[in-house]
Amino acid sequence: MNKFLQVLNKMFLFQEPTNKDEQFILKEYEEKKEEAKVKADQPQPPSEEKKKQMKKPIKIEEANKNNNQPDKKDKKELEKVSQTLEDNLNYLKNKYSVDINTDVKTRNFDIVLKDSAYKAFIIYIDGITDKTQINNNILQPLMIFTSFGEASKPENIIEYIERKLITQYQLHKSVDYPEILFNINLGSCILFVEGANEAIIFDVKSWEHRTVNRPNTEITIRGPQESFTEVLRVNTALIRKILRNENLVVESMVIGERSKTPCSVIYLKDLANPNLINEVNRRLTSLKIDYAGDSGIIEQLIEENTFVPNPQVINTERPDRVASYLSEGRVAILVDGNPFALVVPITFFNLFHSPEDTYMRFPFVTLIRFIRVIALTASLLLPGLYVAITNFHQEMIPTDLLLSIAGAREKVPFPSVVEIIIMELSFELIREAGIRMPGTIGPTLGIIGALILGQAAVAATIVSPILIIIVAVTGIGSLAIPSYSVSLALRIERFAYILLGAVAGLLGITLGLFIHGITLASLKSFGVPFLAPFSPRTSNVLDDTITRMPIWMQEERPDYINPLDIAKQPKISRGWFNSKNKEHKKQ
Amino acid sequence: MKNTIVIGEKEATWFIINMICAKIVLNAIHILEDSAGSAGWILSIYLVILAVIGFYIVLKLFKIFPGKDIIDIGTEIGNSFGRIVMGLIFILSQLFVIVLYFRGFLEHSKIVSLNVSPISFIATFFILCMITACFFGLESIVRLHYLWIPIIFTILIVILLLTLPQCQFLSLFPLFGLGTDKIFINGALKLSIYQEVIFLFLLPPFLVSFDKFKSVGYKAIAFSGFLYTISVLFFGLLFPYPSATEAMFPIFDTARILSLGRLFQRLESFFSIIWIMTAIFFLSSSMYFIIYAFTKTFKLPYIKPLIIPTAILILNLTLLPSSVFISAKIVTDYYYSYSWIPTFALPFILLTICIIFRKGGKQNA
Repeated sequence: MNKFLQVLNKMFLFQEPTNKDEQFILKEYEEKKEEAKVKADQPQPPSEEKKKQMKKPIKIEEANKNNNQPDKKDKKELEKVSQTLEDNLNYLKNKYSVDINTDVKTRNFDIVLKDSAYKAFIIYIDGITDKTQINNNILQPLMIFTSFGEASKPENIIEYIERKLITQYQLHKSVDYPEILFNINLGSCILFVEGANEAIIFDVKSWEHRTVNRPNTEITIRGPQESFTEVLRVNTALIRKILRNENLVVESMVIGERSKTPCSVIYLKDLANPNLINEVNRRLTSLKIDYAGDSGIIEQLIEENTFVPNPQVINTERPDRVASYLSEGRVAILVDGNPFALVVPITFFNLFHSPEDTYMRFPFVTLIRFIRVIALTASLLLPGLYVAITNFHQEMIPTDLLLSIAGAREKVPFPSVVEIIIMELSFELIREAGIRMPGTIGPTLGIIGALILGQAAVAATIVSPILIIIVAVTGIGSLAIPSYSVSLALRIERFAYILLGAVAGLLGITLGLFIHGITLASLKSFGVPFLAPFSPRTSNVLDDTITRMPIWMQEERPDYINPLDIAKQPKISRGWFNSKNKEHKKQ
Repeated sequence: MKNTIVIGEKEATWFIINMICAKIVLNAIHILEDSAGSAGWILSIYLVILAVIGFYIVLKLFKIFPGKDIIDIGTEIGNSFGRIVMGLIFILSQLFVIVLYFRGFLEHSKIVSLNVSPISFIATFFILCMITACFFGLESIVRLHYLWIPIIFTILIVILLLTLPQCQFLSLFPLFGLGTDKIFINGALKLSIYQEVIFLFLLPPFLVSFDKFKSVGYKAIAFSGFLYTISVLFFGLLFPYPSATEAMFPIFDTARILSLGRLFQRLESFFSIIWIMTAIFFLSSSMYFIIYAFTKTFKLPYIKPLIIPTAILILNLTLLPSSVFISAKIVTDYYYSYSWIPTFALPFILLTICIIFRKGGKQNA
């Protein structure tokens, strides 16, 4: 009884907290606290003066200048390679916290020439460099082969090492520390020599990476079965393998203050509009972000309108698709560490093209594209139209079908809008869970979700059977669209149409279509109207949009990209056809 | 105000076609049928000819001032006073039109599909679209026109053609309907159905060349004339004269009698998607140009701050008539009788002033 009262007492009455070990709380760093304290102790200008200071406008150029100025802390740091080896070593050890950073390695040694010896060291990051190359091509020549040489004391030791000792195929010299640090991070090995005011950077990168595999998200029946990997240079090589053209340019840049991610802008210089190239470079170089580890981040930062669900950049993992777009005069962006390339500019219709559309015969492609249009319409509008028609426009439904729907819905307690939202949300749950599930369980979950959940929902009269068909067709429709980003956009927009259909029937749906349409009409992808070539209308509308004409009829590149050379092929691209005809006529 | 937007010829043509033909879904067909009886289609052809003649005079004026719109022309002729007068004529006339149309579309929506919803509820949807369209601007409006309007009018023509089996060709007689005087004298006032050509008068700076302006005008009038004529003709063939005059929304009634076997019946609801879209296009474009004319008339630098106040003004004016009958009466008595004046008579007056006072530079020397 006593215990019971104690329990009650603990449950309902206030108990003073006992002294327990404090749980982890992320507090402000002590140094920062002290800095703040010092600042607070300093005499502050009187409030009026402060106000005046705040109001004083600063010119944009001045503000930029201030932003670009390096911190005082950086000024103390070495910017150039020192002639004293110790300084260089200490600086790098400090910079990389070599004492605690176990994968950053330094190796001190002597370069012994005939009559003299030079102290030297190399620095590299273990795991991203090729040890065999370091041993065989750098250390071995410097420590063993030197004794075979004739030189006693060369004028320039770095020059001598570069020209006579080292057998490594790719190296360059540098005096700047930022460049040296960037290369160490990239997987290079750096050699410093006593008395030399420059260092040698050896390209011995050896990243662990995935090999070139089959595409995972853009599976095709015909065409190449290669996809990009996470290594930038492999990816550019894959494009070069397809476009063996001296006009193919791969410009490089680094994005991300901390991630320092290498990126490449790729284009054909005799095709891509220079204004487009400049714009792509301008947008990329203007990015001031901390981390740019994925092309998805870059995509979000360079697209024109962030608040519209529709993607304005194509992302693809297929080198053949990128090559095809480059040959039209577009520009591709590759990001190191990511197997997806970004292609700009694009239009609404590009998002519904599959890579194999070019490889198949034109009647098949045209049919498939019409099916995709139906898939798009179904995915976007079908649930909304169902709600609108069953609630507001029953007269539209043929009598037999109306009776069937009414019969099926007789025992369902929810209005059709609630019914459809329940099912759509369930479908989204199944889809999301299917993606997160391990490979073998994923499809099983989909089947269980679709069959058992649907069947059980109908049996429990929570939803009507016809609704299961509507939701299933909608889901299949969204999966039939080649672009995953578009499919996601449609999922969002579909809910808006369901609500509009529920509120105002076909009037709501039409108003939704208008606002959706005008949003798309106002969109641009790198200056190209999103609904081109239909609106604004440009030439060759049916060449490769909703339909696809035979390859020999596609004589021009897309006009809306304004490529430097509009002609893709001559008017008669099938030379054999013409000569054969002439021969027939002669006979 | 420097224009950086350039509109293509085809885009402008479809834009003007929609502006002229949007009222087909309202009572324009009824008005033609009412004026000429079974000869409504002859009246329609006659009106096309009158509109072409009227536009020919308009062209004479715009040829003197190439690349300038009607407000610029007003400035050239009468300086600031001329600019304000021309601007106000455009704004007030189009405000009158948009209010009547808006009310018409709202009543139509209520009758056709949303019988129990209050009219203010339906108006909210329309006004939302108008505001959105104005925020996105002329470029987007015109581009969307070009994408949608050809589809809309193709469907309209298909709907009309599908009624062919139900047409009674005897309904064409008497061939001259209520009489030649009703067609050719009284009917001339119905030139008002082409009053929306006035929107073309604001397009020259966007069209850049005079030839484009000319081409857009003629093509738009010709295609609109074709649409009006076949619509009146099919309506007349489906509904004999006395019953035709009772139909409030003729095209809706036409769609209503469509029957294609057991499965495809009562397609008028599907048709409502088309006419709602037409209505939204018309209303948003009208509102945009009213605001555009206002900014140009009073030399205001921005359009966006005026969008919401204009929308509120239009909404309030629209809800002023106490019933659908009053608004329909205003349409019949005033709109169809006098609205041709700003479009066709005003340019003629301006042209006369230009010729008398030798205004307009080299072309008028």
